[in-house]
Amino acid sequence: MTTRLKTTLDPNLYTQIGLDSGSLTMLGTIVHQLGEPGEYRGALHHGPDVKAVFFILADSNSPVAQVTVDLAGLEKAQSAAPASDAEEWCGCAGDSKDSSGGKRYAVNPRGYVLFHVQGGQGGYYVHLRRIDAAENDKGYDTRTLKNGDAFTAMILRPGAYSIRNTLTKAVAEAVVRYPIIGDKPYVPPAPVRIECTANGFDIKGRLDLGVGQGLVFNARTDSRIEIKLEKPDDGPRRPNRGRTGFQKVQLA
Amino acid sequence: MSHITIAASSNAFVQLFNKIRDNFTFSKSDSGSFGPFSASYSVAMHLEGGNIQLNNDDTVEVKHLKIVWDTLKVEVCFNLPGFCIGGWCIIPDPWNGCLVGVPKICIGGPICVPLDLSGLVSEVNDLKANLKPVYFVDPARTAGESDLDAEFAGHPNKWRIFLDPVFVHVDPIDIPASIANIIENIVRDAIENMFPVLPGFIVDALLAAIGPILDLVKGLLGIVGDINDWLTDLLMNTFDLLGIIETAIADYFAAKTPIYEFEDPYPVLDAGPGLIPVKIPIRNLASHVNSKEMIVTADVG
Repeated sequence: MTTRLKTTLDPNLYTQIGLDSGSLTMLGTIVHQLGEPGEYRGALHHGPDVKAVFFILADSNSPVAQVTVDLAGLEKAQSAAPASDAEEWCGCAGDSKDSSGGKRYAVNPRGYVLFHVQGGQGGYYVHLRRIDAAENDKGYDTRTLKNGDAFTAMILRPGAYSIRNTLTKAVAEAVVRYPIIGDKPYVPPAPVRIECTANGFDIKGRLDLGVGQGLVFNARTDSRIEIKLEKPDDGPRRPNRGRTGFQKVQLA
Repeated sequence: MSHITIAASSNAFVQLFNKIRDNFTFSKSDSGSFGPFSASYSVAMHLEGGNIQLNNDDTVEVKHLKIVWDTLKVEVCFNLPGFCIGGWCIIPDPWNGCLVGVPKICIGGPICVPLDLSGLVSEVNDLKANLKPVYFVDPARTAGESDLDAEFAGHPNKWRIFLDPVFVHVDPIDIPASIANIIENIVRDAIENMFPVLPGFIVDALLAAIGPILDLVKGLLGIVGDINDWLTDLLMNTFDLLGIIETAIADYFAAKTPIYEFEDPYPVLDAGPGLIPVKIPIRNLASHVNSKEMIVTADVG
């Protein structure tokens, strides 16, 4: 008998260990409030490359409180677009395609823009800038979280982690416990909320987390959050699920 | 008074019955979608045993006729919810709602659980039938063909005596309770073998999130009682396999395979050198049983 389980599991969920708010992957999101009405142009970066351009209209009359921008979806849509639309854009002022092409979103300026990566390996950051901004206005770059921004992270790999704000040099520790198969289904606990101030994180001691539990970093100062696996926890020894090959019989 | 009367003792009748019983085979496959799950089956069966009783009320009764399931395969497919992360609130609103939430990521997918129950035995609890003579005109016989020509061509007309069931009652399959453990192991293996390289921590996170597998499966499929009873009900009632088999058995005995048949005209003397065979036409054939024997009467003419 053969059993089929066609999974929806993206391997990037478990192969990418660690998170960086400046290089967004599947397990992280960034929430940003535009604040000022106007039309914004976003450039999706993967390293030095601009992968896609999109537009967000911050309209005071808009009832939309949250707009969700799937960065992987943007890149995919852009790469599937005709060659004439898929030219490389710098995302800077004066680009001839400032107000043409690219996906468009609308949100209330007091609402929030959520950047996330639906699938794939990610590694994105976003540069947002008002179309009519002054030349010396460099706009907003997700590599530097601003006051009011939030970065969320979920960790699946059990182990000990270091958490650093690379801009304030604040550090913290977290431990993700190995999942226990019990009598009741495991549900990740409620997310832990952490304030990122100029004085560091407001965490007392080491964070004790469950697998998949959320972390919400509320930026109160310029921040870039990096979460790094220091010591993995592989849990109890598991039976070898692969083929064992030849093994010489050991006589007692 | 009939011109011809022949009889077969109850022992001889049992032998006649056993012969047609052994020729019975049945196979079928089907599939269906039932909301939260889909299922398919493939069955093949034959009959064995049975206690035959001839009754004075002109009926034949067969009890405890075994149904041997040479093939009994069932596959149940459903969506395994697995383990979801995210979906929680990042920025709550002042009215206890949520302004911004994290998109949900779920690890899971459709799963098919194949169950091989081949070899199980159930039974036709009771089958009651009358004898029914039917005159059979061979469809291969051409218009204007004489009885003699038809015999030489190998397609003479016949009188056939069928067992015409009044009722057939098939018992549901008794699926053993151990099927629950089998299902549990299959689902666990499916999760563990999702990817050959899937790290142990993801497997354990999935298994932890799922909790007791049987509870999950029962919840997904909407099973209230025991899983073996549910499976029996799925096959026997939802797919109506019980009714299909009862009909197939009734149809087989009533119309497909006679318990005995006579050629018409009936050969009395074989052909000899320079002589054609001697055959007598049979009319008004009737068949009855009593507690001791089967009696067939007919007229010549």
